[in-house]
Amino acid sequence: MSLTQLSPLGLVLGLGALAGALFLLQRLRVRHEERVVVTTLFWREATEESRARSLVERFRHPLAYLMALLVAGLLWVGVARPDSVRAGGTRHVLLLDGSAGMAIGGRFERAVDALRSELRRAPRDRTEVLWCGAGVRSILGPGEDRALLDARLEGLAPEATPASIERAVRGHLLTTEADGAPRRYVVVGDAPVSAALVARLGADDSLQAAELPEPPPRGRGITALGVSPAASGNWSAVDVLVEVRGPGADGAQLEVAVDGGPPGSIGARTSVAEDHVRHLLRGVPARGGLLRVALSADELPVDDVATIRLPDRPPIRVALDAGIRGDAWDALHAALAADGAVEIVADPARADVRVASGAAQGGPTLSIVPASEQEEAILVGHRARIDSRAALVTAVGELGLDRIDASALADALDRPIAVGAAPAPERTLSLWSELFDAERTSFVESRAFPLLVGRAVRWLSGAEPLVPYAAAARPTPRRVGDPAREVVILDSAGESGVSLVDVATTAPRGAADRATLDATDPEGAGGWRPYTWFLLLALLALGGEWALFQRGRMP
Amino acid sequence: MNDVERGSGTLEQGQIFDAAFLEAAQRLRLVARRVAPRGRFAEQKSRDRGSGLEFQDYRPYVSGDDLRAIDWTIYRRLGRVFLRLFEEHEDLPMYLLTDVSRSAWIESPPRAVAGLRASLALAAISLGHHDSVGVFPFSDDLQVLQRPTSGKGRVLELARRMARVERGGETDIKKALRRFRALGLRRGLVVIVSDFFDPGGVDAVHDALRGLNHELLFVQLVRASDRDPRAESGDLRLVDCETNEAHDVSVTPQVLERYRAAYDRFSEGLAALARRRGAGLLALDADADIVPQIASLFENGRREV
Repeated sequence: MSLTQLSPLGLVLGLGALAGALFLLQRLRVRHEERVVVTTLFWREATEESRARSLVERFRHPLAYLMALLVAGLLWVGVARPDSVRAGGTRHVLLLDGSAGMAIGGRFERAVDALRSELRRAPRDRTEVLWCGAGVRSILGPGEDRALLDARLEGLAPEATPASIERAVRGHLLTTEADGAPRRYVVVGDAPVSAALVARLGADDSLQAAELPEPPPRGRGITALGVSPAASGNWSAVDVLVEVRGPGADGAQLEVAVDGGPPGSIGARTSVAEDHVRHLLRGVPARGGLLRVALSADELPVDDVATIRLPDRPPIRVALDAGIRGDAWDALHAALAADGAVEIVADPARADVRVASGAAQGGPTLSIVPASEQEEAILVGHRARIDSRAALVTAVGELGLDRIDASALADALDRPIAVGAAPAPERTLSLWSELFDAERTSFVESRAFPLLVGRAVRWLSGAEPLVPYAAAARPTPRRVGDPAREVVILDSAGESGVSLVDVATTAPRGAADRATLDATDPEGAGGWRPYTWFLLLALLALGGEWALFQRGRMP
Repeated sequence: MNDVERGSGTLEQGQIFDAAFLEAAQRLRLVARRVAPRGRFAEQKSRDRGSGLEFQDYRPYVSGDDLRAIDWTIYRRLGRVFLRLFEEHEDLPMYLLTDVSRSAWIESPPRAVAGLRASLALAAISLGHHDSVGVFPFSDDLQVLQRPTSGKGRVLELARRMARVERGGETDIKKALRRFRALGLRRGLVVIVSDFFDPGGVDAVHDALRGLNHELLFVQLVRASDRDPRAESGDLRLVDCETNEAHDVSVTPQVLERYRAAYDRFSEGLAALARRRGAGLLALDADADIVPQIASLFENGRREV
């Protein structure tokens, strides 16, 4: 039981008020019942002796007063649960879990009730409430009126997102690190807390869990959804991975549809364990359709449906300039014609990428230039917003430049082979025309050439690489310099990309997690708290007072 | 008030006196060790040698002696004149000073009833033995209800007078005895029937007795609740019925213990005073029948005081 948490000053003021009130009550008790007696001769003598031992002249019951004050003081301390001196400036941060796991039954409503209860006990001026859903934001700042909370909770509901409690705590630790005040975090929800996070807490910090009923068992759900380039090499198709975990995952039926129709692919199913199944859909056409995978609904329906927007990958139209010298044209045409992702068009205006002789004239262009016009054998033209060094590093991998045997080329041409990068209005790739001289080099015959041409065309077309795999609460693989979100969230329309509800982050807190939280509770949630002892002492004092009364030592 | 009542000012005769009471009283005999000279002949022995029937001694004749007392036989035998001395029996003047102060009336039954009954019993006994009795109720002053008189027939008259006694004010033994001394009555037995709860305590009684040249008998009217007021508990404002002084008391066992100690000191002080004055001290329970208590005091029908 707890009424409030008070500062030491509040505790002392409360005790003083109690002492004063009890004193007044004691004085009020001196309202005597009037009796007419034969004589007061002996009463005078009797009370004059006792008065000499009184606390004050008209204060008749010092022992009774002290006992009453002791009992009231113990009850006051036990119920008020004052902060210790150390915790005088403790920041209280209540973290309301708005993750998908809270959508089970009435968990969220109970969490809100627990939040209100915690809020009543916490000092208003040092308590804030953070909403931990898809994003973390404050819904009640320190000192704000508690009545605002109800208005701000309006419309809030668990979101189809993994738990963000840890993210919230880490962020808060960083932002308040310079403050130096102890922090008390209270997780209001089922989100798990890792031991690593607890280890990051300061010596004076604590992390506790609000009291909630045991969560209901959680069913199986879709825990991962990934898209990768088709293993068949088909540019216009992707492979899709669906992972299902939880009790009954092995027998769960998965429904797959693209824009409401059949996926047009071949599915393969791999059972890792009874509660862990992977479905792999090969060769799903990459036409920008919405892929929807669904399980039959269970206690947590939010993780039974996941959607992903498939990439749109039409063939890359390439215009091959007739001005290119014969050997080079033949080699380039052969390489482009062999690439299933490329469609050679005659009209440069319809082309996504141009292959031309001389400097680029506009638009993404693969240029063949003489060595006399370009210092580097291979020059990557990148957009101005990207640093040339970073662009070069990225290009080496994406374009397959590392596959080129530069030493052999240098020997053949008797000059150094350099790779450079420079800002340009459009993406360009310039190659020495001498590289295509079949008499001097074997570049066009090497395995690196068609790879370079194919990757160059893809890179120049600006096609975004696929996210090979995505899972909730895990960093999404991304290219250097690409400001992609770390956590990929599924919304109801699936427009945001990949949505995954991960077992590890949305499952109810286990016993081990609870132990972790309890261990951070400075009051020792596992045993009797100090305030319980105060209440017990108050009961003992009451018993002592009763014994004294029975023995006639107290009025 | 619970068991304390403010009594009426007068009593009906039947409340203090009945035939059975008088009959029992007649069997008692109050004997004084000494009686004063110049009294009437009665059944009490006197220190004076007089003309009674029982020979006691001889003494030489001196001028002015009664010639009828000369023993002529000795004169004839010895030639010298001696007087025959006989023990003279005189009456015992008894002065009953009965406390009718306010404190004697507020309890139920009133302590005054017991006091008047005791006084009447003693008066009846004394009158039945031809002694003279005077009754002087007192509180803060002394009334003369009956001047010293004798004769068995006076008992009923005395009872009627006692029934008309009015409630007095504050107890002031000192003033009452001063007024008694001023009456100039011959030396006798002064019986003070009272609770002796003078606001001045035993010291006031002691001071009051200075200059009182009479034999003394203290009849202390007591109650069990005087020493052990268990009915009183809690936080009380005790109002003295005589002085109207209020005294706030929180009754605890410790306070009760000190109260009893104070009462014991008072009782012991009163007994010590009686011993110093050579007086008797009778304690009568006001809640019990008076006659049996007085009967038990007079062993074998006689008791010297």
